[in-house]
Amino acid sequence: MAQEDAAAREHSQGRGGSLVRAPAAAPRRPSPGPPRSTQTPIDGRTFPWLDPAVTRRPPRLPRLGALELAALEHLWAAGEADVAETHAAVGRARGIRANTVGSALERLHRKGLLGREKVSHAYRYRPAIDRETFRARKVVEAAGGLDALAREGWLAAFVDLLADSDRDALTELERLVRRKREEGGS
Amino acid sequence: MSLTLLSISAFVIVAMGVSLAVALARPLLRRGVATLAPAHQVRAWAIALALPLLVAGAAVGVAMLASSIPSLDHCLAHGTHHPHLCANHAPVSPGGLLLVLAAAGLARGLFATLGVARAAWASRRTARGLGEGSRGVAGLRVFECDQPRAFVIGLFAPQIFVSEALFGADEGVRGPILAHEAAHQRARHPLGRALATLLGAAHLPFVGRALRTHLATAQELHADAVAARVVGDRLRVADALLHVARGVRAGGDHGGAGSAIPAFAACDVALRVRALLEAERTRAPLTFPALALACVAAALGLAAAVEPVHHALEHLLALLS
Repeated sequence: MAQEDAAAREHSQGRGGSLVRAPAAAPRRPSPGPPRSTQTPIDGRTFPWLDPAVTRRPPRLPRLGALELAALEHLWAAGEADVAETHAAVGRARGIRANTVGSALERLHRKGLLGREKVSHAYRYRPAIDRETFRARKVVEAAGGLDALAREGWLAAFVDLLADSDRDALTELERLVRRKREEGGS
Repeated sequence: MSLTLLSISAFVIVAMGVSLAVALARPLLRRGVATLAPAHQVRAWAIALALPLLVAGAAVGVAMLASSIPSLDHCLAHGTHHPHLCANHAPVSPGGLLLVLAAAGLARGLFATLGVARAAWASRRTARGLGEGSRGVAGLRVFECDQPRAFVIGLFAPQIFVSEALFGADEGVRGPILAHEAAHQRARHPLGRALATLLGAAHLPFVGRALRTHLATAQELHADAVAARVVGDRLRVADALLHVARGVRAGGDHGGAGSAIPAFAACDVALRVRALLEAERTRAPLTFPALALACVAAALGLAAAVEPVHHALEHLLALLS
């Protein structure tokens, strides 16, 4: 019981160290002027969230609505598409018009997540960031929020993500479970 | 304004008293609650968290009620030398300590509300970000991570998030974990924890924190019990718990390499595994009819004690003013 009390106190005090290690602080040096972007321009434009060289740490990816996300998923799968093709893939099932899908693609382009080129009368869109990178960046961005939620005690996780473990304690527990199984208990 | 401040002071005093009583009774409470079925353990700790708010609210409400019942109106017989919780007669302005208590109570309530609002916004933003960074599979959101992770986020529309490492794991491990998280989702435990944070503000700080920890542990025990019923084997859930704790610890040993998701294992794993090794607890006295009956009995008792409660509170306020 005393052990549980100590464990409860440890948990309530949020011990366990930082969940996400902050990057080491960059050394201070006199600013030579505006930082030079190393990003390859997309349609003549550069976007800060695609160019970590410009900022000290990668800025957050823009927030996306459900339709924008669906359109982006389609473009990742198809490689490139125009408004009509995207509407056929994601718009018809939702009962929305092609104009709405076109607006979503336009917003994605403005957010720097899609590149485009004009072919005949219509734009053809292509992803400016691959699916794995996008998802990995989103997960990394969410890690800070998870850290905060875990410290508030709001995260219902299968295993508490904050408290320290004890290797010997885990080994002892595994032994107890094995013994129980051998005894035929369940 | 004076009556409002007096009421708040009275509320704070009663709440502090109830919180202190809960703190003193905590060892007894823990022993008693531990014998209940997990779902009822959650209810018990939720009631303990809500007690100061309920008792203080009822006491102040009843004390104020006395002033609206002509046969109980005794303020003029008392005189004006001490504070009156009375809407009919001009109350004495609260003294220094009462003002301090009222200010402290208001500040604590405001900070708690703002803290909950901020955390709720963070929860929504995190769920949205993780949702965009994951793929949907059979009602789950699966995100890229080489460590075994599973959790529920979201207050009003809780979602289950599972790492690729866990999703691709053996059914013997995956089954109990998904059943556990589904139990959290169905019971809306994240919302319960948010409400616990708010209710805990009416407690003394160390008491509120301890009760919230007990509630969170009870929720995990409840989810474990549901998972054990779903998979039909309590030991399978215990095995899955230890497997994930090992995996989480291994990720922590490597400094979370390859993963930015939190990488420490649980200190409550021991408690949960030992609970799973025992037979399921089935004592369930806190049914909704029983709780409703208790509320009615308490209301009747308070109604019968309007005058004594009113007197007691006014004397208490007089002592402190």
